[in-house]
Amino acid sequence: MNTELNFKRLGFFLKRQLYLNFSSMWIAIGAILGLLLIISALFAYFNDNPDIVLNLRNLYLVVYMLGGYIFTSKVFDEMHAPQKSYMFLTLPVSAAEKLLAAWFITSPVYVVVAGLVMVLLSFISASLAGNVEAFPYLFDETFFNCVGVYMVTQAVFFLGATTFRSNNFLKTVLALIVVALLIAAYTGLLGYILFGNSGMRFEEGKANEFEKTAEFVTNTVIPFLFWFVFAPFLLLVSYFKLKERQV
Amino acid sequence: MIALKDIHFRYKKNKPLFENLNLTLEPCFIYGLLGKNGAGKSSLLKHISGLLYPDSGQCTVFGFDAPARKPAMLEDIYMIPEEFNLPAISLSNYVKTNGVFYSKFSFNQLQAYLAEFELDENAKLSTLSYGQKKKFLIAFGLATNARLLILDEPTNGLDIPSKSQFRKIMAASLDEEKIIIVSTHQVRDLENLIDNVVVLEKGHIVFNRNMGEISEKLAFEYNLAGVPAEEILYAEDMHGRKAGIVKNIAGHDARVDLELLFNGIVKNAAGINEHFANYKYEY
Repeated sequence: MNTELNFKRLGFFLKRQLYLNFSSMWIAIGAILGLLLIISALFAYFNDNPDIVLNLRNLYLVVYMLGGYIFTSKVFDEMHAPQKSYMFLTLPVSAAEKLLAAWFITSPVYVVVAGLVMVLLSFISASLAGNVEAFPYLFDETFFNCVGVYMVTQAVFFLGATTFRSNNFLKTVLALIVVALLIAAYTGLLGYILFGNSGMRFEEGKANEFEKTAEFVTNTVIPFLFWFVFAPFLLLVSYFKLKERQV
Repeated sequence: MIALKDIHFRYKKNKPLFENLNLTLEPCFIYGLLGKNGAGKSSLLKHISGLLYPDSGQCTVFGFDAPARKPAMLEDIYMIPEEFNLPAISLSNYVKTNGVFYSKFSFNQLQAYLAEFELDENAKLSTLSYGQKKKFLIAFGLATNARLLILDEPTNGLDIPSKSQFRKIMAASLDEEKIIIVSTHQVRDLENLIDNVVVLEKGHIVFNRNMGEISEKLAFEYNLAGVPAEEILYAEDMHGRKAGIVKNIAGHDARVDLELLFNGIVKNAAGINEHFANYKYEY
């Protein structure tokens, strides 16, 4: 039990975290499920639009992602509470195990539980709208793409959960806005420095080369960085944040 | 063994709390950590348990670097802070979910301690009073069989019978491997319990002596009338009389008044320490 990553201890820690947060998780799931059921029933009953089931599915996806981000932001609440943090930090569990357990709960477990809730909601709303045959088509490429995007982008809120001591979700959103503005300002300034206000000009025969480079960057490099590097990098930063955390 | 070497530490934007702090704590002793408010007692305990990192210097606990917070080290540390918030679950569920992390955890010991403190293991933690929660944490901490037990103001909130139960249980739980650190303002609660007195003043260890040594070299008088001035190390008014600490010339073991000792150290640490340094053993 003395290594940095011990699966038995990880299992105990997962069980502990799920048990301690069991009641609040069920309350949150129940409340959201109830609210969405009411909205679905009202929309399906009073709306004749044939696309209503698909529109409701999109609403569920928005709630699914937002709910996941908020849930992720709260995953280290025990560590940030002044009268609970000592217990969390002195529990004989390594930083790697704390990180893995928190990620497992907020990513794969959340995806499965929230996915099942969405299946249930979609079936009910399709039935209420009298369009049950639309039900299988709701789980198309867009749906699975959203799940994938959630699993990557939730790492941002995971880092926010380890970094900020209170209002983690809102502070992470604010940090994202600031970072986006900074990147926009930087690229704008860089463009202005390189090209001035006279527009882009390329030498004869070089334009094609630039186009290919830009295509390679946008079609290969950026997707690769997004799908395979972004989340692991943020999780690694979160690990160091957990390791360096003091009361 | 716990060793703090050349510890320097400051809270952000504050003046330094610890400068060149050195302290060694040995197994088989109960240490009483005393100090005024803001002296740095809780910060020192947090350094030992790896909850605060020194700016420089080294803090090792049983050979482990404390800030690394390795599970192997944490299994041997149990800390009961002054203020805590326990989840709204039953005692037995708390034990089930948290006891598994301590390889030496004993359910039998826990049941015995809970019985001693008259706590029902099926009760919900949220229904217990502050003192009962504290007793539960003490029982849980002892049942982990951690080699280092850190108690910050453990007797706060305990009623009079519980305080004597606490002293009895703590004294009985000490073995040759264990180090118990008790930090408190209520020095009278520690009488007949601690083996060593460590006094922290403005981030410095100003006194660190064994009780045997103290009782051999110091005497605590409640009426200093007639005592030669050169024998008095510290004096204070007590109910219209002068009480204080005097040199124990006779060398007979004296009962240690921790409150007087603490007041004396705060006012005249140099004088009292000098007396210990000058003391000649007679064989």
